[in-house]
Amino acid sequence: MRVDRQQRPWLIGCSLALLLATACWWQARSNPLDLLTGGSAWGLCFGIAAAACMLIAIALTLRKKLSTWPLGKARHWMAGHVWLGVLTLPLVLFHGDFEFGGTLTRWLMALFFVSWASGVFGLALQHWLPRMMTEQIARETIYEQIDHVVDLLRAEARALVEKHCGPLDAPDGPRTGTAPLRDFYVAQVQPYLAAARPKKSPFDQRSTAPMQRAHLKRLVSAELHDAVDDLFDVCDERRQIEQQRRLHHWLHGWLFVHVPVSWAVVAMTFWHALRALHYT
Amino acid sequence: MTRTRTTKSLASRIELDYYRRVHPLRRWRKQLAAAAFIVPFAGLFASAKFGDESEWSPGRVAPSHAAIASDCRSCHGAEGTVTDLACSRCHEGELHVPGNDPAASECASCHRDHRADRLGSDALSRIDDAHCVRCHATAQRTIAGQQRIDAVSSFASHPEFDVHREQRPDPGTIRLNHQLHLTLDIPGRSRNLACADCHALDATGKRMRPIAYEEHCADCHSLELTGALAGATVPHGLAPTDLREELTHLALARALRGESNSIAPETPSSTPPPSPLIRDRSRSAAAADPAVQAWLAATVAESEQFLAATRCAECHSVERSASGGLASIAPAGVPSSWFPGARFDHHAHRATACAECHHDVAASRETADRHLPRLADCARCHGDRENPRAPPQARGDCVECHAYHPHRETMRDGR
Repeated sequence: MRVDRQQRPWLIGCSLALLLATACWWQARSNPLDLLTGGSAWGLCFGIAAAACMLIAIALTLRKKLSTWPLGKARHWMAGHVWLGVLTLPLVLFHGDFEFGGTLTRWLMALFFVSWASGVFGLALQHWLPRMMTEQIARETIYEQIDHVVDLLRAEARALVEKHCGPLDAPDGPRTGTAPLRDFYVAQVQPYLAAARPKKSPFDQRSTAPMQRAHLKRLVSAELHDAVDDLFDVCDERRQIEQQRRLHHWLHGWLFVHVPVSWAVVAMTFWHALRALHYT
Repeated sequence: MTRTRTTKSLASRIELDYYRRVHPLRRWRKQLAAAAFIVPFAGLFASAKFGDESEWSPGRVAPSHAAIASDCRSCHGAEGTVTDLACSRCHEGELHVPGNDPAASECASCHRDHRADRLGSDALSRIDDAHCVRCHATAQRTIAGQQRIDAVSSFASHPEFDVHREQRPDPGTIRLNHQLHLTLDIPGRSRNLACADCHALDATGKRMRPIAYEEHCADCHSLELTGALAGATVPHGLAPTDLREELTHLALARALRGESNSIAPETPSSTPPPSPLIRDRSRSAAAADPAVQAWLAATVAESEQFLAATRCAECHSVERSASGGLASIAPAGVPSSWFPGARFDHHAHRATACAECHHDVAASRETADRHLPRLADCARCHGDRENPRAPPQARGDCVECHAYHPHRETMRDGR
């Protein structure tokens, strides 16, 4: 989700809510008769509000599960997840008057900070990486199909070379004048395409790949130049797909922290509320 | 380049059923999320059910509760709430004004624990002024028709101490001239008396011990008798009847030892009874002799008169009866505490010279002179510490000097 002009209602609403909460916190902490703690009247209000924001934010998961249900647009749920999640932090801090309590509440706060920070980090990546992917990866494919597409690219490259040079395992060698192409394929292209995570290859560096291509073209006859271009195009697609994989991991890898930690926060918040209300 | 990419060619290489297979990363994320929810949930459930509940503590308890810090139920009970009953198992304390503030009957409404991290180790007893001024800021009031309480909302609005405002004289009856005592050249002493020669701290170090004759006065103000009982002394503090009995005992003992011959001849009672009447006779037989009785009565009366006129009257107000009966001594009347509604720690103020608070003692000649500190003396060091613009000051909150609970010794001393 991008934070753009469409988010203005959420921005205004959350800003007003934050202002209201700050005013209440200021009023609450100036009352010495009821010291602001998690168990005080205002502290409970802040805690309940924070828990409600958490629940709404976590409800995004259910909304995704029930995608066919008429529960409103997914982008609205995502906006609520983001904005209420951001608002949860000041509410949680007001809840304890910027104190973190005992052992378990400190752990809870630490996990909440990790969840919140990872969410903000993810939001920032959502702004930056999709544009980068659009600019850098023209050959983007479906992430889950990357391995399958790479297999197809390997087969395509081999078929291309064998079309012009003959079978790679032919006992009498390549056809006349095609040896440089075949040798280049065997030495450079095949290992690059065969690698699960190709790195440090000329094809990984956009600046050196054209030099390689020009050099190879000088070694082969003119009728093979199209084949050379196609071979380099396959390698460039492989490079872009690998770049897509890396960016995709950045774009979604933070969820490996955000989602589990958020669920741990929900579990701990439940018990925290239960025990705190029991002892209050 | 002959290699071309069309939407159709790109779409044709995508497996149509790929979405049915969950990608490993997505599956791992779900499993991790499930574990992250279940493990802490189950762990905390087990902890709540079987473990040490002190892990749920919202903050460090006060040091005075350290021994029961891991036993939540010692204060919270099975239902979780803190009751006065739990507090009263270890603490005694009565209501400030019984029936005046029902909400205040709950100890925990003022004494909140688990705040040692935020408010310091004395958070339990260091009650905020707001609790006091909730009632005291509004109006002057009289408690049970006896004690008037002035409206006060802060240390700055604290009224002058009653003893000064009402010009109460020192109710003591001991005739004490401080100036004389502080300037007198005392034989055998290399220096004059100082405050600490008579005013010493009690065992707590907070209050002054009462002046004791034997300790502080006897060296100079002896109760030595004269006349027939010259050289003998009587104890201090005897009731008149006990004093007469003591004098009779001294006189009879002296006569039985045959020391009556040394009695000076110029006083009528100094004429000794004939020796045969006393010597070689038992005490009871001698005491029963009318002649001895007459001598004893004269000797005791003479000694009583001497004591009342000289020794006792030197410091006390002595009232003699017109019929010549026993003289009575007015009670010393020295208050045990000048400020019964407050507590004070002299030891904590040891860096301050006595005269900085007890003014004009060196020039005082009258018993009725008051040498007690005024509010302004306290305000020199104590004040509103909440004001960040004010210079550093000692605390000036209510509980620094006052106790909410009735003024038992334990409460007054802040224990």
